[in-house]
Amino acid sequence: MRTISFAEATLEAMREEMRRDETVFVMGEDIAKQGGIFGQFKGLPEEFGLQRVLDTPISEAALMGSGVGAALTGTRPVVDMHFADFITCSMDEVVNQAAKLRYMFGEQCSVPLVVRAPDGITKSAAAQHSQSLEAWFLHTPGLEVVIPSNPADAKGLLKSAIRSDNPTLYFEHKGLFATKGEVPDDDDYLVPIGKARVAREGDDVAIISYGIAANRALEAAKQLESDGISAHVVDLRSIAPMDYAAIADATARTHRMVIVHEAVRVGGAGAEIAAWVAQNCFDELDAPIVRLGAARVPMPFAPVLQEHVYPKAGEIADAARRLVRKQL
Amino acid sequence: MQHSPSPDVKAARTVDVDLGLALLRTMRRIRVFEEGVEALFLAGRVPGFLHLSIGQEAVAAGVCAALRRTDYIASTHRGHGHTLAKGSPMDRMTAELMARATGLCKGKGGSMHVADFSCGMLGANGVVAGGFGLVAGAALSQKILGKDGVAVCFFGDGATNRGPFHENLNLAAIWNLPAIFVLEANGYASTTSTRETTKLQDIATRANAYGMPYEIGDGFDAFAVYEATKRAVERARGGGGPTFLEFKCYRMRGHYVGDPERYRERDEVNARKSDDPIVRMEAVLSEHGVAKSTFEQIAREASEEFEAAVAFAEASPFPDPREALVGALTTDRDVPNDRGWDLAE
Amino acid sequence: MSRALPMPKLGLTMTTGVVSKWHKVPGDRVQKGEPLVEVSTDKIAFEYGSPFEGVLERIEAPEGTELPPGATIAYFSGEGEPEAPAASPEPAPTAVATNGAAPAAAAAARRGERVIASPVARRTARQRGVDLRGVRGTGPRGRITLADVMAAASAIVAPRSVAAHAPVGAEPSGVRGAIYRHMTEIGVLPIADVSTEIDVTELATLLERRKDVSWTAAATLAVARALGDHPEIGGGAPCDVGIAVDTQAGLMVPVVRECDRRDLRSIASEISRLAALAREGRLGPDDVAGGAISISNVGPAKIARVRPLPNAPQRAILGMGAALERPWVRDGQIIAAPVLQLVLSFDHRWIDGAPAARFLAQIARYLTSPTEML
Repeated sequence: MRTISFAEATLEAMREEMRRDETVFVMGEDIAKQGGIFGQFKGLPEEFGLQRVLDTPISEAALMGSGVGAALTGTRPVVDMHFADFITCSMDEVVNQAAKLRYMFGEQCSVPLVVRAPDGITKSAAAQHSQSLEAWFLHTPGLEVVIPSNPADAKGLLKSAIRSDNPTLYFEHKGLFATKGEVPDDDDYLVPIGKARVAREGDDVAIISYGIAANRALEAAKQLESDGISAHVVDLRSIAPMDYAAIADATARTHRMVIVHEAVRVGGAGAEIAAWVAQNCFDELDAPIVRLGAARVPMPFAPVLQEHVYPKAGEIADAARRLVRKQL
Repeated sequence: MQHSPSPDVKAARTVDVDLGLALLRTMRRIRVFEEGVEALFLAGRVPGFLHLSIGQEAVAAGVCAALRRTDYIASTHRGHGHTLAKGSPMDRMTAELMARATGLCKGKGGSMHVADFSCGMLGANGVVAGGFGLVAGAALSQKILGKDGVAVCFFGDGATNRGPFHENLNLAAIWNLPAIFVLEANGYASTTSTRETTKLQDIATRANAYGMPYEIGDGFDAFAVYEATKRAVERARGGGGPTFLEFKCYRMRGHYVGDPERYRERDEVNARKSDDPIVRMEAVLSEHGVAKSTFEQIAREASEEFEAAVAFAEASPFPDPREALVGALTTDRDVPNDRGWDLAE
Repeated sequence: MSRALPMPKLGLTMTTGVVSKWHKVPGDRVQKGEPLVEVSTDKIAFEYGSPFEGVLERIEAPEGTELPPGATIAYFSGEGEPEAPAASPEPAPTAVATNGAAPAAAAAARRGERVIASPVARRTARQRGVDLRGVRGTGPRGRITLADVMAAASAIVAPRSVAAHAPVGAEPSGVRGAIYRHMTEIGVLPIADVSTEIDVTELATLLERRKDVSWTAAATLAVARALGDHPEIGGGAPCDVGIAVDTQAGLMVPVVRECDRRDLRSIASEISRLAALAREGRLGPDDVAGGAISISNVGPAKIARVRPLPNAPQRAILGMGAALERPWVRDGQIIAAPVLQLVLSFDHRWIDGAPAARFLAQIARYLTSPTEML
């Protein structure tokens, strides 16, 4: 075990996978010369050459489209979108091409593409650079969507995503790149796609989450401990495919559920989870299912405004506490 | 930027009769197929939409004749001709159009999404300009893998006004990709005349904007198409980067089967009948000693092939409905999707 | 304004209940839910928590009184809904749980209002035989939560062994008294029996492998399957099988429902559940009602044979002993084998010897070759 940053963990994953398989390459804006705005590609051009680490023009449609085309024809591209918000400039290429070609063509091909997309709220980046858009891709058949919350999962999930033959969206929260955590020394450390992690066991209330919100949920669980409330925190890690079994177990164990993500609450991934639980775990529920997510506004610029619109540890603990105290 | 006009073919051409016959056979097979599926569609035996390329056969035949089986092409919603010309079997494509399990895409794609990866056909794309990224990517793969394959993108004038056209041509040029962009300039984008959507007489001149060489050729002359393509292929394989080829042609049928064609006059269509690429090729080959009986035989064999293809399709089963739920991900045969209304017991 | 306390209706088949013991005397102030009086039927003894908050004014039914459900057994003074005078019995709600029926909830039951309870509370109430109408909800807006149902279920305390205190010669009261009267009634019935011995080598091997399954469970499955072919043995009743359980208070026979829809594992776990409830004295009235046939197994005591009496109004009962090593003849050779004795006792007014024998033979076949019934 070593303690390294999230950015370093993803870099390790890239290096290991590019060494292991020479068909893996990476392209995007500002990655070869600059090494990525979070340093997450540093040193790769020196080791693998500019043929496999490519700086592209600002052409998201071509970036994503050629990623799909390359994936169809024998290589394993990692496409870095710079900010998840810019996936919107290449939606046809993700939704109508990457997600559909295998199915439309009767499984004649696969699309082993990884789309790296730094997302999330950070430092007044404001409306067009702060979004979490994973719900759109949960809603699109033919895609895998993974969202790590810590360096170990960041490494393990990125390696799994690169090895997966399915097009995989890898959302990495901008605010997590500098955070540190323990990462196993094993150079083949893989985290399976579609498997959640129980971050904390508990009996009174389940908090289902992923990404940076899972870390906030763990903080909330600590706060709840001093109130004598034992929270069961599940970090989903993948939302497509989703580990429904882990969610069902959490419901059966605690009978109360808070779902939280940083993405907008309305129509977010939490809505899918809540509806699934309500239908499939109905008889286990002792209280209504509570979802927390950002308010339905574009992200404002001023720090005091930004901090007002999304749930943090305090809000998560409050919701859980109110459920346990039968106030909801 | 370089612009090489097509050499004057009619003047001093030495005709390769064998090549001509091969091109003619491909064109005739495409023609028979297109007319055949048109009739099937009108008889209600083909679901969905059908977009025919009658009149444009020379481009498909000429381009694909200059490619290896392992080279790639990406096509459009009007892709039957490209698919046949690249070497895909007629019976499997017919079965696909008729929604059978034995179709190229197991009945999941249909006319607008036929594909055959066994001969480098990366699919007909239902999104106009959807092929540019795929071809740029396929060409990029070749460079990264150290191979000398080329990738060809077929498209119409309509695609040249979409963003991905510009982004991918720029990328192909700056990265020197072994790609060839083939514009089938048939004068119409769907139901709108090109005159109303672009100020340019020759869209190929847009290649100048990306620093890419281009050629404009006669899309009714399969030999001319073939030769222009060969030049582009040699440039690409030799590391010289991409080429833009524009072939003037004409779409003899409507945008789709059933199109009332209110956007053009019947007279205009009728006047273009003499531009039939098959008629032209037969004329050239006649001049070089090929007998009429040969043309008749080629036509007969094509018809027989089509009839056998239809028989194959009709004898094939429809897909098992449960197949609808698998095939999106490589992993979904392990945990197939539920339909959403399959209520748990 | 006086409030009348009715004799509770404990289960659908209850005809009368006996007031066994009053825990309060007139003049006592009683809290809602406090244990007030012990009532017993022929099936169970029931600790009735006070549905009223107030002063116990008058006892109408002293200990030992037997009354039908709904009949007034006491009066409370203090505020509350005006009740009908003592003479006419209340229209009784079905079984009332013991943490008290708040007047509002009782009124709600009459007006047909919905009871608000969480899904897991409802499921638990169903499983434990708790009537939600008597449960006080501590959730928001009075919602009944899981904790509330668990509290109600655990308030049914274990019946005390009343029989030990009855003077010799006098008729006993409580659960013992109920059994006394029941056996007196069936004593006059023409009970006959057929019996057989079987080699249970195969079944013993199966039970060795399947530690979660008991001899009783295997016998229950065999009886259920045989009942499918001989429904007249059960009088056409649904395939519910009673399991005789020995408890501190006496014999109790909880019923495993829908055995025709269960597999071996399901039967085994249901028997465990019911037996645990019986030993804790927590069987609800609906746990012991009905049944097509019952089983009595004295095997655990290592006794070879039992000839039990049918649990009237059921028409037959299977008695089974322990599987004991005995000399046995197989293929002309004398070997040692585990031998089980089965007795089918039956009410000869309804069942003749030959059908009884055929029924027992089928059970014997299943227990000899258990794969046939799995």
